[in-house]
Amino acid sequence: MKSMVPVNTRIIDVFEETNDVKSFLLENNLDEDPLPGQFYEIYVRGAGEIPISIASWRDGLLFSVKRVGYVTERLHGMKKGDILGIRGPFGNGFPEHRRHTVLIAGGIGLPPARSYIEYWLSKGSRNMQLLYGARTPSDIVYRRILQEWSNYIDVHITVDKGDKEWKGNVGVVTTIFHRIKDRESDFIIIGPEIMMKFSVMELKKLGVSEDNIYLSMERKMKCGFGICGHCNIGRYYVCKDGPVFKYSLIKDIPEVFH
Amino acid sequence: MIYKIKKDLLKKYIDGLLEKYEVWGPKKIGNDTVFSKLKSGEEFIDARTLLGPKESIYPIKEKIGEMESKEIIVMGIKSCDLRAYRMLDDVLGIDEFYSSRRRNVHFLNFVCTEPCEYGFCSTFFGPRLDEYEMQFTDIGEYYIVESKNDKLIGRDFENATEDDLKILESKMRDFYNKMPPMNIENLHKKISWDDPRYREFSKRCISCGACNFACPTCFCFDTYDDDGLYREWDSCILSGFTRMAGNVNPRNTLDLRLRQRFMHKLRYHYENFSYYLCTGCGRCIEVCPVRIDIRDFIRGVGP
Amino acid sequence: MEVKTVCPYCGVGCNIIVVSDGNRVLNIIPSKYEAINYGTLCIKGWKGLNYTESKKRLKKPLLKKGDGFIEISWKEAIKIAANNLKEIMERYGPDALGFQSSAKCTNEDNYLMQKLARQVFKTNNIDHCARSCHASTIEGLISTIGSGAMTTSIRDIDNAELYFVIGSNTTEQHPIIGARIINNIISGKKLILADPRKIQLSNFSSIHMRHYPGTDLALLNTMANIIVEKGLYNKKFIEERTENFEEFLKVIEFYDADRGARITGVDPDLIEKAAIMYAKSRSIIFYAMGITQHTQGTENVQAIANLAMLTGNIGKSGTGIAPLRGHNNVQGASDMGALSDFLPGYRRVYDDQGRRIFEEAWKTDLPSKPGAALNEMFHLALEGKIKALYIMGENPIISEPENEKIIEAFKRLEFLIVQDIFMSETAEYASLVLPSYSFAEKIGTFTNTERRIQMVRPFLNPPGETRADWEIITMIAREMGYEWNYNSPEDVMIEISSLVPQYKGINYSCIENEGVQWPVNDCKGTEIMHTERFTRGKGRFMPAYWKRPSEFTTDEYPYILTTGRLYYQFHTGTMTRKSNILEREAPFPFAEVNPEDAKYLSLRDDDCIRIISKFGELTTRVRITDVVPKGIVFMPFHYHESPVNRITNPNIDPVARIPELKVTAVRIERC
Repeated sequence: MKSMVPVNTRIIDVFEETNDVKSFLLENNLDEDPLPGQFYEIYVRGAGEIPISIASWRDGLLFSVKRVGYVTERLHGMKKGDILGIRGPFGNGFPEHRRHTVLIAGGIGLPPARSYIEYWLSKGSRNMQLLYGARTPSDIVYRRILQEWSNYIDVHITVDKGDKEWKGNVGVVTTIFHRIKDRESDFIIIGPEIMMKFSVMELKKLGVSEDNIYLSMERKMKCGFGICGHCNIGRYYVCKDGPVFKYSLIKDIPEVFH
Repeated sequence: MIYKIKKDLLKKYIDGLLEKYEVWGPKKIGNDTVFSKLKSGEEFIDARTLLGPKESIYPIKEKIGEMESKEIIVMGIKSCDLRAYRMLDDVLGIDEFYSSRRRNVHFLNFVCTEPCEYGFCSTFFGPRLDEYEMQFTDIGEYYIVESKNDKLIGRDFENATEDDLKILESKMRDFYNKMPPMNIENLHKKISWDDPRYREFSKRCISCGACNFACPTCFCFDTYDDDGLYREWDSCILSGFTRMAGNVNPRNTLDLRLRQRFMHKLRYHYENFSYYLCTGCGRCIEVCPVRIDIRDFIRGVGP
Repeated sequence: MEVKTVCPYCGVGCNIIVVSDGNRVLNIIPSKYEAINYGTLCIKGWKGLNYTESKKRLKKPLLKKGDGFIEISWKEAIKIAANNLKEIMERYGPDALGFQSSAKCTNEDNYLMQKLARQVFKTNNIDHCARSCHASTIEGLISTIGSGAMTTSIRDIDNAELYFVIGSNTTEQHPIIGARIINNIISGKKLILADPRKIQLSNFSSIHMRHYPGTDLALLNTMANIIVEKGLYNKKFIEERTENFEEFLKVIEFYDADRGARITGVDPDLIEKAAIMYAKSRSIIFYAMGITQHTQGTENVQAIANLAMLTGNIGKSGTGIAPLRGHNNVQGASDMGALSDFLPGYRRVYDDQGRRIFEEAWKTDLPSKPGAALNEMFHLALEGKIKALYIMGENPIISEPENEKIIEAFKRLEFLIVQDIFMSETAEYASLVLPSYSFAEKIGTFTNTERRIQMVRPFLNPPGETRADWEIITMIAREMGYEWNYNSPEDVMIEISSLVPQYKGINYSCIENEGVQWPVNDCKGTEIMHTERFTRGKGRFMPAYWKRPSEFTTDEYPYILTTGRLYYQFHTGTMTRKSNILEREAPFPFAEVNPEDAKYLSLRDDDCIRIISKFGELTTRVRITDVVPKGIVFMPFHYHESPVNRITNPNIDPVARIPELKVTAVRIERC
């Protein structure tokens, strides 16, 4: 039963990823394990609830959270041992890994991508590519893990704006699309809507079928299971019919890429 | 079974119910008629209220987790409002709080025999329902009472006669003559994302949210922390409804929000459930300070 | 329980039915009352009552101890209040005391507050926030037509052919009146708008004059001049009903269309069209703070009255002057004489005949010198002349200009009583905090913007040990040895109805179901005033030359800052900011900057800026929008995070003593 009542959970550990991103490892005392691409509602007492995608669930539930508003700011102030409320997992998650898959992640879109990569690596697949765009080198999250992944899968990173030490590609994520190995892949795009919009445009130019493109949509989500009505995109509820949508399914809805 | 009860015995019947149950009904406060808890049968009047009794099982604001549920009777609910609950069930039915209250409520609906000023229920299903628990229709000296659950049938109920039913039928014929249904064939296909009227409406809409709060089928709520988690009826006309952290808002102008309201009622919900999320109660028209009229909107939807 | 009462926000006075269980609001239902809100409400009515049930409500009297407060009993609190006020009065004289009443409180509360100041403490240092909103209306309209209130009714809006809205963002500040205007325009009526900003009503205006802030008088004089030149004035009306017309002509002839255009920045043809349309139609003028909050506020209001009299657009159905009052009961608080220069019923304190009525009724001599106005009290406190303030239901630190000086003034006081429902920014500085009822617990009356006296009824149990304002004031008066024998607000209303001519014969049973509009006689109200004759007898033209506002742009301060309110918030936010939905809609302060100015200053949306005036500085975020014209910056004043009244213009209108909040020269810097 999906419920509005959060369950208490303890913060096992907190990791500082970047200036404004922290990861929180929480005890998993919920009945259900997540699937890659699903999300939870995290309740910070005295502040409110926010939907956060699962990044990893090996030794507890790991969430990486960017500080963007009131609740995330309060969450960033929490420490190891503190209590949070949690509900979930919610949403449909990413599609099954059927063939070569290209993950295109922008900014804080990497944590959900991580859930996919980790899950399918653990199942023995290496048939994936990651294209990751961050704002600046100091905004890159999971540096150590990205390094580790590159032993198994093809990883490309780009930044919008470089610095003295940065030797990699500079430019938005579409500027590394020439690295895409196979146009017949599944493409999973996670990031700000503007980044997804341009990514889709470029992929279509490359001849990628709209049926092979998946978007992880973001909307205000309060309940998580399709009753509060905030996350409508056309007939769909992002929280329950998404957050991952086949592009061809939603492309004609004007609120997509608002 | 089909019963009837003398009108002047209704008060006594309600007083009887009040001995065992919490009973809601329409009553007068000053010059207004409101739907609220009844203290006595004397208070009850058979009248359409400005707002329906949506909050009887779906409180406007409630603390999440502090659910209470008791057996209540909502007496005098109009068919448009009762029909709306069947729609809410399809969405809110999976919510533990809504559904536990829903299981514990008896809706005794009263059929309108005269059209109301803003209503257009005949377009959808009319003033009588096929699904009800006890349905009351005014036929003059008596109410006809159609009952599918005799648990609440009282001592003063008599069996209705063939003649009574004839009166009922003729009353309903009259009703439909006075309120002819609008043509809504394929409305969900005709209604458009680009209708210029959303922008027209946005010029005069004052973002009060009344169309949502008064709508018996609107179910959206917001949640927030206020020394504990609460949920409260929300309105898709408000910009904060979709605004996310960092000031990102997929519906950042009022015309887009008004579009959402019309499209959700007349298209999206239809696509999901094969019926319109509207019962023709007309309340959104009546409570709208600038009289945005969904009937005109429907009539003006292109071919 | 279901209780019919009146919305506590703006002056429209929408009737609502509140359903509650005594502790929580369960439902709010708009009344179908056709005269006002016809089954509708704005978002504040629907979602704005949460504050009443807030856990943050004050529950016990608090006494300052060190840096904090300790809870004390009412008995102690009243003793401390009375003793301190008495001691200060005896040591420094009565005018060392100041009393600030509240437009949020009932007529009964306000009546007693001014009675406490005048009868018990012998001072006219009693004022309330009308000083900062419609003091100029009172002076401007009394001097011209004899009565400082809306001349017509909300219902009568439907009978007009044209609306002239100047300095009022009606759909945001008085939404249900704004909606009524819109409905009428949709059915064919016309709208002339004069406002520097683009507002929702701009969508419906035949003419929108975007004049420079502070040039209203020039605009109105120019319109009047054009009407005279075109021969569109109402000669018969002027002859029979007015005086001083010749003087008026001498002044306005100076304002030909070109001069008017140069001063106001409005196209002369536009002004001409507006003037002709206004004169030729049955028209109502609506105005609010855009007219009143100026150093020429009184003259602005007089110019409006001049225009109405010139065309005979007053005293009959579908015409008139409609000052829109901001608070639920700012009209009533003014009627009750919670003003430093007026006794109840607008009798001047220096009018011996009027004063004698109260001296006889209250069995005491009363001071005849006008007292200090709201803001003057803070200045006098700074100068050490006022030693104690008693503030009821007001939060001047956020609502009044130069708030740093106010804080400084509070620190200089020997004693500060704050009577409120929350620990407001102002209450933090109090020596004694008295917890009072909100409107949700009160019986009494509010008088709305159309002079309608309406019943307020309780629907919640009072939290903790809170007391009604009238009761607290009465306890202090009794402690001072005065025989105040009120047992209920109704007792107070009986006294009001015997002393205030406008409220003559009012009692609660005659407003049981429906309010009545003053002047009242035998429970019968007056929908349209000045029908046969003006309240002052003949209507008097009061012409004036336009003067440059007290603040103007210079190289150092090249922008004009103007302030106002937002639809979702109210006043200093103590009420609306406790509603989660309202606060969500307008959660933070901002400054509107025109795109051209933003480009020049290299600002992007949401950038942090510092706004600096002669009077102070603050930081806020930029909202780039063509709602404001080039050269103008707009800020809402609700937010303590960016308290705009730290930097606003404190210069006052010499007659009405209202500050010129609408015009402050500023410069903008990046943070």
